[in-house]
Amino acid sequence: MSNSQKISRRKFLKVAGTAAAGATLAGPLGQAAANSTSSGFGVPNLIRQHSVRIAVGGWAEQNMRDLLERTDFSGQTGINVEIVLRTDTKETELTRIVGAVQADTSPYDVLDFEDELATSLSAAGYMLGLDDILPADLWDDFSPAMVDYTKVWSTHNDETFRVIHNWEMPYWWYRKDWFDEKGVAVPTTWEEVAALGEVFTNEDEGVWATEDGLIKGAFLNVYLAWITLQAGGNPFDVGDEYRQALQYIYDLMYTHKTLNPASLQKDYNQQNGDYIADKVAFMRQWPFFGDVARSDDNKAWFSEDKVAVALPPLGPGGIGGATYAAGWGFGIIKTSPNLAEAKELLSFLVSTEAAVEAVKVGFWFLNARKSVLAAVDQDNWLVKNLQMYTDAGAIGVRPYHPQFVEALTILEDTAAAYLTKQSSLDDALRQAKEQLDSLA
Amino acid sequence: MADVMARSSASVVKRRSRLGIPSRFAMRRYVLFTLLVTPAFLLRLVTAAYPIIQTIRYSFTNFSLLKGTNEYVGLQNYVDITQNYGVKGALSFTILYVLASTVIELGVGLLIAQLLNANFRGRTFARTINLIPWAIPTIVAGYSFRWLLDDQFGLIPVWYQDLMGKNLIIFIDPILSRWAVILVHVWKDAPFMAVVFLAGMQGVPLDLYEAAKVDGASSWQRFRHITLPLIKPLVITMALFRIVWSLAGFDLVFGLTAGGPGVATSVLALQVFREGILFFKFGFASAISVILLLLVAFVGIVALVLFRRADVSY
Amino acid sequence: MLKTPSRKYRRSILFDLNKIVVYVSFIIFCIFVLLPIYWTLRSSLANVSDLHKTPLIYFPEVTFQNFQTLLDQVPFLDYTRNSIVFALGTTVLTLVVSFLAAYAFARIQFPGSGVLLWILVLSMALPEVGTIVPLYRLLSKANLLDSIRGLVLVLSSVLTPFTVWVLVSFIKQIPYEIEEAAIIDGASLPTILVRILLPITTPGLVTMGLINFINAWNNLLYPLSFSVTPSSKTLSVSITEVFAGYSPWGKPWELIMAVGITMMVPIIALILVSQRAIVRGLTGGAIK
Repeated sequence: MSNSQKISRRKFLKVAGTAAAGATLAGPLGQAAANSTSSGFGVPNLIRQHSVRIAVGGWAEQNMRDLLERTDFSGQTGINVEIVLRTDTKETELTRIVGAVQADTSPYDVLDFEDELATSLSAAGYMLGLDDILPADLWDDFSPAMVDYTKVWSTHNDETFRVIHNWEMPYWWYRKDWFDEKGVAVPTTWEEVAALGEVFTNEDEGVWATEDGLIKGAFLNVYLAWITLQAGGNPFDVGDEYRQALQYIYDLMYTHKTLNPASLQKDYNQQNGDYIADKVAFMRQWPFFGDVARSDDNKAWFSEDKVAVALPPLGPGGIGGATYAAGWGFGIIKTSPNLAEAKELLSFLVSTEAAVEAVKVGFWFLNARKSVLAAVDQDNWLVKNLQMYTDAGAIGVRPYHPQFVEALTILEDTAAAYLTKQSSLDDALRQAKEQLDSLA
Repeated sequence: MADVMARSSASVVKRRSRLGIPSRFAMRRYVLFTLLVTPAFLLRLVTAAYPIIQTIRYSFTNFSLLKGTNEYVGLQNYVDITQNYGVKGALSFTILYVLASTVIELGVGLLIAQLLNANFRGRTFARTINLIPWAIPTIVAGYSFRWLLDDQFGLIPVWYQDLMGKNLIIFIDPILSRWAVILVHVWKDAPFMAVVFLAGMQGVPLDLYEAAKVDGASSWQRFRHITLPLIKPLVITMALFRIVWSLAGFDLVFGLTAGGPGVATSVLALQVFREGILFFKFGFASAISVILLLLVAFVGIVALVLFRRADVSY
Repeated sequence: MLKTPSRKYRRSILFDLNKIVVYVSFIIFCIFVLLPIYWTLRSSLANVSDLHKTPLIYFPEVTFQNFQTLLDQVPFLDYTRNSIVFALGTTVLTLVVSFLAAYAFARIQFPGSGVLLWILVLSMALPEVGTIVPLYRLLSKANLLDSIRGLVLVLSSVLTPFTVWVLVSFIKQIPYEIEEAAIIDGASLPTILVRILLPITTPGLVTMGLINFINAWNNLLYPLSFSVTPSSKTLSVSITEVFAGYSPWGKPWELIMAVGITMMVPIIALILVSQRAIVRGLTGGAIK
């Protein structure tokens, strides 16, 4: 949809909304008119009592609109849904929400949110418990790994506060063309990964066997958790597994020259850019890289064997901790001004019918629900990879801490100090331990 | 301080009584003054005084949303600050960052102002482009420089590689990262300083320079003995505002390094953001804010003293 | 008699040396200022894949694709309109409030006015981020959330101290005799302010107006915190909303640069228009 259409559509909806609002006041006939304007932007406050606000990221806005239109939610329920944009990071989004809830109000009723926000908002008591409104058989539709995940990441004080619709894991991407050319096998263990530094890394050319996006602000934590899980532990325990993981990352950077140390100051965009610029032989990355690699911008570069996916090389923890999934899901903010409507919208969004329709609209709604997996195109690259990882049992539960955001910051600060040679491993671990203990 | 204030207002009174409104209108004058400053103070009262008072109050509590606590704990937060890894790191870099960037900005700003004040072809062009760095949103500048300094596709490291034949990874080196943050700050704000100084320089009477030229003073001597003393109050003012602004801001660091590597480039305002907004520890975050307040107050007092001196010598 | 030509010769060398110094510094200055701008511009105008190539492509093929994407991703027209209203409103409110206060500080004898001015300046000390929660409560009570009026109110307050400070020194510098004559003629205060002082202080007001406009235009924290719908979000907020690859994980650098360039262009135009007034304005103010 081109922009001019989009804007004129918005304008149209605005006009329609105003007209509908006027009609609402005029009589029952207007009610029907108001109901028929689904997902309007800028609908005036006059008809707010029949409306609900849902906040999604810009990347999901069109999908959400399509879903609501396809299912005619507003027509069925008489509730007008206003889709507003939330921001792209937990930092900016918390900035917006904290002030609001503290003032006993809320910018949105239903929120689409990630793990970092989930722990913060639920622990602060900002999220509504959902168990009353969720159908009892909902969890039967979830894969066992998703149920385990939900118990850890979407439950607070035994109450579910979020139902995920997006559940995805970092995949292990590699340049099949390079591996074939060099005649080396895909690594299956940590040791084999380390040895690949010698094969691929050419510092003067800026080529590294692997690279990651490890800048502070939850990027580094993803990798720390991923590697520690592979070592068989939870980084927030600051146990032997975490020590081993840190040591391993350090060795990858400086001893084996496998992992580009500059990763420490890169975000995912830079990481993807480097991979597509032929600077990286393999990497851990979230599935959105598949979209980026297949986009029009990279048409000239793309070929399937440049973005091959394999199971992650295993550490001491074995296959069960090869990778972990993170989720995005819907929840209701407790201070929402439209609780009843919010509940109705959320019940609808998490229903099996909506979940199946949703994944047809876009992969933002892809997860391992049985109904969803049965409904999607089995030949799609992402579905195949999800299936491969699920079948291999490679998806562990994301390492959790009840004060996740603060705890991950402590790990990032101390780990980055060690990985940039500002402190010793012992100091870094001691610091991390002390500070994590003081959280309790 | 009271003494300084007294002297300050005394001299003002003296200066004004010469020109000022006759004193039999004193009552009317006070009413007028109050009327005129009320809108400004009302604005500040609502949006600054109230938050400041609340922040000071919170700083003595363990107010935390995640723990659900909100009790008076005395100075506990201030004790904790001395133990906190992130805050300790941020404190030392904040001081270095604010001082170094201010001093360099003053110097670079003066140099640019000298250039913009010189007579040459392209001066209008120079004056126009001068304000561009300042006009770019800070967070955009932060991201832009992160890429300009990127080890793979950043201009500076690529040039370094061409010249030295070595790979330059700026952001994993704490010292280089610190300088990167400071210098980007200089790039962003020195031009603004320069405009202010330029204005000051243009206020210097030309005959002073002519006289100095006749006496055979070199351009450095003219700068040192005429320009500099005359714009000294301006330099102090700008230094003061600069310091206050940089103490309170964190968006450059946020966009450029996110405080890394480790906590090498973290600043106190970023810590306030983290502890308050991200960790919901309003009590602790407020204590850091109070430290910032005290730093600013200290700077303010020093500036005030300098002002009095500058005024006297002027 | 013989010496004269050689002295002249030496002087012309010196003269040239000066010129050389000036031009060399001019070139250094241009590189200093423009290199990062070139970098930003290059990234916003290039196809993203051209940005990730070595050796670097210094002048990639120009495309407006990033701007097109930006238009598709955010309600650009709404945001632009809000940015203009927000920045203009803030500028006007700040100037009016500050002008009145500055006149009082500069001209009216009042015990402790020096201390008051100092308090005004030091009230800037609390970091903006520390004010979010209390301000949210205030705006919520006043029903000013998600509205540009609320944003204008908050930011005007932030910008007032510096504006007052500069205008005070500006007004102080204007000879008092003009007003005195008017007072003797029986002119009222509003007349003095509007008819006499306003024209003289116009350069100062234009300068502070521009500075405040830019500050408001670029402000991110307040619109981010207090705006929810496109009815009050500004252009700067779009920095936190652009996305890559239909997912939350990417931070599309080229789009952020496009936002930056989009926001810079009007500002540069403004600077060009008010160039002369700025220098004159600051010349009048602050120095004495």
